[in-house]
Amino acid sequence: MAMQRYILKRTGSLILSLLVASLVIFTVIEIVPGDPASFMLGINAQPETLAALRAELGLDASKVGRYFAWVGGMLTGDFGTSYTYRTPVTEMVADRIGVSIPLALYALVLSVLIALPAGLYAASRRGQAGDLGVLGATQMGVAIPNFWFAMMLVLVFAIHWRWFPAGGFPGWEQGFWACVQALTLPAIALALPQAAILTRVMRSALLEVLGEDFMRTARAKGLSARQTLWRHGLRNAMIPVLTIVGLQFSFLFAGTIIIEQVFYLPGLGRLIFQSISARDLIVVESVVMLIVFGVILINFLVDLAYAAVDPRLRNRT
Amino acid sequence: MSRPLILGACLSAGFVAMALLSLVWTPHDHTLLDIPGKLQTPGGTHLLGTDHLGRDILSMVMVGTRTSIAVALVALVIGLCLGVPLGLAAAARKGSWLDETIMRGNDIIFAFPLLVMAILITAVFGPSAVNAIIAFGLFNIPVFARVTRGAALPLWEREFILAARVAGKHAQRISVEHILPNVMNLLIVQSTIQFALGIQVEAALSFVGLGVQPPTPSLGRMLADAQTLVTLAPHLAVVPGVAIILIVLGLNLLGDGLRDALDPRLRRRLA
Amino acid sequence: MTLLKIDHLSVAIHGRPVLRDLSLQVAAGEVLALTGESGSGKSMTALATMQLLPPGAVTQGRIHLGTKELTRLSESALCALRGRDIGMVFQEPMTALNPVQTIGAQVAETIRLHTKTNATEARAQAAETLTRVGLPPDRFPPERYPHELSGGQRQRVVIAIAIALKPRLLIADEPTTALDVTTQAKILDLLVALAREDNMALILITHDLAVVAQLADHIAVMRRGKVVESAPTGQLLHRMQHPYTRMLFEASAHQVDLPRPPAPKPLLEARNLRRAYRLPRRRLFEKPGVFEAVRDVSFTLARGERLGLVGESGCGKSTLTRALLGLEPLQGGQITLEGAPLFQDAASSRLARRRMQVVFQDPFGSFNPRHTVGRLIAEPFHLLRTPPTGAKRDQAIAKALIDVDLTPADAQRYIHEFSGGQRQRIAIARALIIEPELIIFDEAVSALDVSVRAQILDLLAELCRRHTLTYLFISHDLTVVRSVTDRVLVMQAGRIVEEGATEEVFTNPQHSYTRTLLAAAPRLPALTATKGMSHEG
Repeated sequence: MAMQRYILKRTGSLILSLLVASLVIFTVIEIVPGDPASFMLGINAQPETLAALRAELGLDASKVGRYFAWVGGMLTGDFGTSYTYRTPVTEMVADRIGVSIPLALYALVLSVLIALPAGLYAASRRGQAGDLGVLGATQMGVAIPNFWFAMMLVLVFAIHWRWFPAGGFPGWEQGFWACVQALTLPAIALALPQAAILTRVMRSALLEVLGEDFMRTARAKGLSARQTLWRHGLRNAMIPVLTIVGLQFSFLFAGTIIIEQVFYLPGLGRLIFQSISARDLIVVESVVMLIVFGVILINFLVDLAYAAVDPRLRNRT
Repeated sequence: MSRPLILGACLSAGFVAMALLSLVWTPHDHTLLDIPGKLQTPGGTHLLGTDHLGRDILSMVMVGTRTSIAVALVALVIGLCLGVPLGLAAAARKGSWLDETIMRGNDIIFAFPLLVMAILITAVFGPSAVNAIIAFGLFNIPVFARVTRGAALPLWEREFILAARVAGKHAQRISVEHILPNVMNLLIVQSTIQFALGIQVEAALSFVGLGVQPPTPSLGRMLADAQTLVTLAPHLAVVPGVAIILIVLGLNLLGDGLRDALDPRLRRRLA
Repeated sequence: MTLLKIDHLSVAIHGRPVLRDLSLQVAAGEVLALTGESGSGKSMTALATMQLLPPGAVTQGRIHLGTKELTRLSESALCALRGRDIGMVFQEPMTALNPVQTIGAQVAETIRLHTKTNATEARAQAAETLTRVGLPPDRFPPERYPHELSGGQRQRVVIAIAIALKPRLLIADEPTTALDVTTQAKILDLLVALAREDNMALILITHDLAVVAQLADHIAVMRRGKVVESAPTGQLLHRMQHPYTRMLFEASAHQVDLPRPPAPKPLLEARNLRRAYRLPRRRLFEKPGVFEAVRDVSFTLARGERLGLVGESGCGKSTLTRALLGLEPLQGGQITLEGAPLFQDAASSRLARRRMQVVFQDPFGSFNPRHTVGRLIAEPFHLLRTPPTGAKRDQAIAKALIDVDLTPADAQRYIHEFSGGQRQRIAIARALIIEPELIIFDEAVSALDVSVRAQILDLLAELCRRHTLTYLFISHDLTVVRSVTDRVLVMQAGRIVEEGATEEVFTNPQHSYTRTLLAAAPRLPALTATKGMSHEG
């Protein structure tokens, strides 16, 4: 019962966030001066052709009407038609998303796989050489810009040693491993700074938990220090770690936009930059909404994960 | 004073000094083109070499650091000036419509990843340093609002605040007189973090062409120029990259060191 | 038959000695009370026995449990011992349990850790143990999480964890300090009963001498890491050898000498006060529930009268206090000061605050650490139309400090330079500085050690003689309220259930709740044989 109520409440706030975000994006794009139809047809366009195009793009409707048409379209999977390419935005996005999402997920998995053991190691050796080493490494990791790191990776692993391709994406129809290979360097570049942050969070969350009273109760039961950490410490430390993992996914998702530039990957990022230079605002609008939707959805899932980890939340709605 | 704190303070102060120095002196004119002398490796008359147009890289790094610091600093000030009062107000009226509105507004801004916000802004207003500042400044507001509110809420439950209320002081006055000084440490630490982040954000936005525009040099722009030449002249990418890393590292160490030095609980333990 | 024998034990943490040359013994089936003021090393003795001292601790001396010498045992041998041979109960039941595990699982863990039982058996045994501590599965399913239980129930779970394997030694470190008096009585009875049933040795660590005197077979009094006196209970109570022991018992039973109150003339009147909170909605379209923290409370406080307010946590006394101070809105009723309604608008609120001041419980939390004592004390000047300035202001601060037995020079110092008792003096100075007509003491001596508490209570009596104070004294501690008030209100579940002259209420309680409360409170025995201990009441 409590869990259902919690989910219901979270779902409500998810919908509200999406609604407000869509309004904000629509309003911002509406501020842009100029008429996309005349932009597309050039200066010498016939008024009749212009009017026809405007009708076709739905630009003749009122602002309110256009907003609802846009939102309604998105709900049914129709993101409108690109002003420049005259193809449905949905198709363009579907192609690109097959690069961006796997890349972000790959990076997230790498970051978690690096950070959890590193944080656990550092916390269990608090103040010793190993801990200080991990802390120093994370300071460096946080300071390195991911796109610069990407350039260095290309220089070393693609150009010097030729272990990985320097850029480009073969497409999933060329086989899974070829794609994984193409995404490996970008994923490492994205994951490293995030792993550094997550390691620090993991370490401090564990240290915080180590000072809790219930850890002492566990020791008094006869659990060894290590058992106490594994059985009682980890799950409690996961609560702050989860928050950061959720935040990181949005960082990573947005980070792909830049990393795609370095590796010439045909993802959402490249689509956005192409659309901005072509002033293809319907594409920008829809892709931005899609990314924001992804971020809000991830935060929603993190909220649900919280409740799974922490029974106290289920009652405190 | 801990070692990280000293190291961080020295690094940060060094780069700020370098940026200020570039206002009056650089080893060469950073705008001076010298095509025959292009892509020189470090050493010789050009200490850190020259770029593809023969400009002196050290001079460009000095001026570029100044640009990057300016962008990050202005965005930080925007975040502080708007975020802190919002956070204080929200905490003073916890649970009220004001608090709810501020926090929900924060959530919405938070749902826009920084880069997406920058893209949206540049898509509408065109790419420029000012728009990069606005984007990051907007991003900073909820960060500071949250930190301030989070630190202020438990203070409002403390008895010295109750005592001040019993003494008849208004929420506004209590916020300024009692709450703000007690959250100041946290704000200082958060400021160094957001400052460091600002340096990285400027670099990222300028790298993809959404930030500082040519001919103004910035660390991010230098990296963007270096991208196509990285195989020919790696130092073009290495030098500004290392500069960014050192500034960010310095600021983060400074922030960590300050947090430990300013935390009264830690201080008591050392005493 | 001696079970635990601590021999010349000294412990230093990072070079700072916390235990000095301490020797103790407990026999099977015996209850040893370890008592003393804060910082005396009681808890450290417990942790040393568990061999769970904080990092940086250096131990000298021996601890024998039966034939085993604990300081020589390997960590794995100690792990096998903890939970099986020694069980421990901690002070803070709210945080002593893992919040993300069910209570059944936490009890079963001890069982599975030390015995070769399978999960089902362990669960059954855990349910049995929970029943033993008063949490039968039909009313308290083992699938519950700690946050679904009250403090007293959680402490029962902690006890279940400690006694699941019937250890030979049970250590309880201030097990009831965080609990209400009625809960305290039940938990203490449970602990002693369990110890007797299983023939366990029980070490009961507490600062509360009344508890000690009532339950222990043997008492050891600690001070600054040493045992200053140790003897069987009857013997110690009647022939205290050490002056410190005598001082402690005297301070616990301390009665202050209040001057007679003047003829009653109403000062503060509360009429039908009501404060309700909205509860979170249970279902989406249901009307949210309402929690009535204060229901229809009325009372009168006369000028020069010392009124007490007692009740257990959650009874609404803090809410009532905050409402009286105008820190919480009321949903009904009226507060008047000499007939003039308070907190109606800005002007009446200002007037109310000008005439009422407060002293809070926490001597550490009630001051802004960044201001000097002078500035802290002068804060209420803000309420005066023309606050004194310059030399006059300094004089007023100096006078307030002298009033509470501090020196004018203290005005330049910062709050962290003062002890808990001195901080409460500063809090009183702050309340007195604008010469209010009424002071509210909100659990003002609850965080203090007994000897310091006695001094602060004496200071109160002295101030009453000098200034004819009127105050409302809120406390959960019945002994203190009995000592410093003329009249008392007993509060339960948001209502005042009994009201009357303090001595009358304490000796002849009318309401059943007051009777329960008084019966549950442990009482110090009359210390007849000790010289200089003649106190009335």
